[in-house]
Amino acid sequence: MNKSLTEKPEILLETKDLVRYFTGPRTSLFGKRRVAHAVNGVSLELRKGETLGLVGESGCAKSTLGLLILNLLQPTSGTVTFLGKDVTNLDKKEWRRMRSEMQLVFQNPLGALNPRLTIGSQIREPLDIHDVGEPESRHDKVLEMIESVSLPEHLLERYPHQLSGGQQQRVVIARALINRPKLVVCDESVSALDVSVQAQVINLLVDLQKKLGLTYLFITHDLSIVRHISSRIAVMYLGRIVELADSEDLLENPMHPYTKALIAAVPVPDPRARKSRATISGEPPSPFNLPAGCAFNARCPHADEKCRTELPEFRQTSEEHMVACHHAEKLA
Amino acid sequence: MNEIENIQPDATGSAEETPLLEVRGLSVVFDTPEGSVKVVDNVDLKVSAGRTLGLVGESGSGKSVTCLAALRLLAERGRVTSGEVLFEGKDLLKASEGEMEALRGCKIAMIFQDPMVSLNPVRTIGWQITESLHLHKNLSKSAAKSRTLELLDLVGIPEPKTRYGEYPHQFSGGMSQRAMIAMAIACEPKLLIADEPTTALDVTIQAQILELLSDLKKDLGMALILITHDLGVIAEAADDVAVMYAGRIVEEAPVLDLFDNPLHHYTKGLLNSLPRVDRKVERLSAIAGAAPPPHEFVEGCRFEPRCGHCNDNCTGVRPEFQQVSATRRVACIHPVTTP
Repeated sequence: MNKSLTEKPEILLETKDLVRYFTGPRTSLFGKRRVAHAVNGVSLELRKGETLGLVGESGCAKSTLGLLILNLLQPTSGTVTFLGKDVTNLDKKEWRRMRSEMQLVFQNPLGALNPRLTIGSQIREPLDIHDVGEPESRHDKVLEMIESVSLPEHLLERYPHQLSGGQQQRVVIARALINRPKLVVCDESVSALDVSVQAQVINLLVDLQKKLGLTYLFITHDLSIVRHISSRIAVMYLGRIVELADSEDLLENPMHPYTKALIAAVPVPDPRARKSRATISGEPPSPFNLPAGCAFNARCPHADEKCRTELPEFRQTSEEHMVACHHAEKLA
Repeated sequence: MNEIENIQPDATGSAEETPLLEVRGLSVVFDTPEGSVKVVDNVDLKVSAGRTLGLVGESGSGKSVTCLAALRLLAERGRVTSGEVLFEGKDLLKASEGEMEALRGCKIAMIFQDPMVSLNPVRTIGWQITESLHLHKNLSKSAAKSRTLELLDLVGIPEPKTRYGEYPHQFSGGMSQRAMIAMAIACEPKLLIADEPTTALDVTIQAQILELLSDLKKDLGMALILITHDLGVIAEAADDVAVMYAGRIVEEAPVLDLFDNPLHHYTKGLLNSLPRVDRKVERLSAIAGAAPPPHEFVEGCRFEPRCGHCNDNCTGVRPEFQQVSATRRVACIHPVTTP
């Protein structure tokens, strides 16, 4: 936070009013197609070298936002600017060059790896595709990469199914990082791993970030992980960012009622901290049928007439804290 | 370390009531093309009425298989090689298939992680809940329906009358899990086994379901076995905890003792490796390596390759349980010493 007062942080990627709709099935044979409002105007910036945690429950479109940011999905409207260029409007050649600067690590490593290729050739593949360096030097790069994700060299000859889940995820990370990207989107990258292995992979991601100067967009449903890994956290609800702040600030002084409920709901590994965690009832509304006003109003204990009619603006309440709630100050 | 000695060979004194379910020395073997592997190795468990036993372990540690074996629900390739499962004093492993059918869904019920897989997609929710009432309680059609409506209301499904006639695909994940719970408690079971009941759900919904389970346990006086990989859920909901690692129970303790003062190095390592929402941790202290797959299970301590406190004594010898106090046991030769 102090840094931002003295100098403006360098922006790596910026989204402006990003919107993405999906059309659903017809309601009847000749009926209209229903429209799901997945992402509803998201403006975010990713600062160079930071980890931005993006949290939300299933269906809030956090993964869709990740795909939009990587230009793997076309937005309905809005722009994504990466390194000063609008990636939604690049020609093929330029996009091909830029694509290796941004990488994605998914939840299920076995689904991301080719079962018929050896680990070594999969880690090498991005180098071949983007024609990086001399072919002879590529093997050295693979060796260097496999060492930096702490895997033994002899695994290069193995196939994905011969590795444990944690090892597979390390391979995916190695492959994502071999072209030295600037941005890595981690979509639930550690959620499928067992707790003891999860900690190893989180530590690895943190180390690699320091070593290679990476910027992470860390998408997850797990607030405990996000607190650990992120410098800033964005909370998403039904296609909108509802709160964005420094990690510690957000978790210690949440302003949006949804953020508060989300934090309260996370079970803490301490039996002395038992309390009623179900502070909100009900479930998120369907993106096919967005409520008027604030999307959270039906579950919010503080909702009034204004919340049911008027969409709260995503506004700044302090230097590094933004929130979309009419009553944020009153509730803080 | 000195204060931890074999105090009593058997801590279950006569003063304690007989547990509702007691698993003794249960071993389960799976026959695979590569040979037989013992995925559950000499497991003891017990749970009394009104208590929640948390069974915690990582994937592949054998926690689900233990419970499936106890209910005789193992798939074809799995077989129980030793042990007994005493439910109200009767060994379920010796019961006839008919007796088991009368018991399952009636006195003992089980719910699973993914409600969408457990529910029949072509039958209405109402039909599926009344089914068990027909089977076990012999209720008339109208009595079963009104009982089902009561149950739907009890588990917090709004508008039970409308929801009764709906199909599973019309239910959200949280609502389906509520419906599964309604089905499970329809016959007021004495024991409910919940296998990762909230893992597939969002945290706000998880909190609601855990609260529902604990309320139901109180109201119906059930015993609950909660299988989970999440130590947060254990801290939230369990009374007693059994920690499983690689097919064996490694530590048993009341929940407060376990979190205050874990005795097995695995338990301690697991607790230290958790990122916390309630406080900032600078760096996670991960446990090196990964749990062994079942075909690499050894006779000696299975945590040894990952343990920083082992010595030559740990190799090759199965660590026997040390009874640390009346309620605590640990299977480690060099347990964590109290500071």
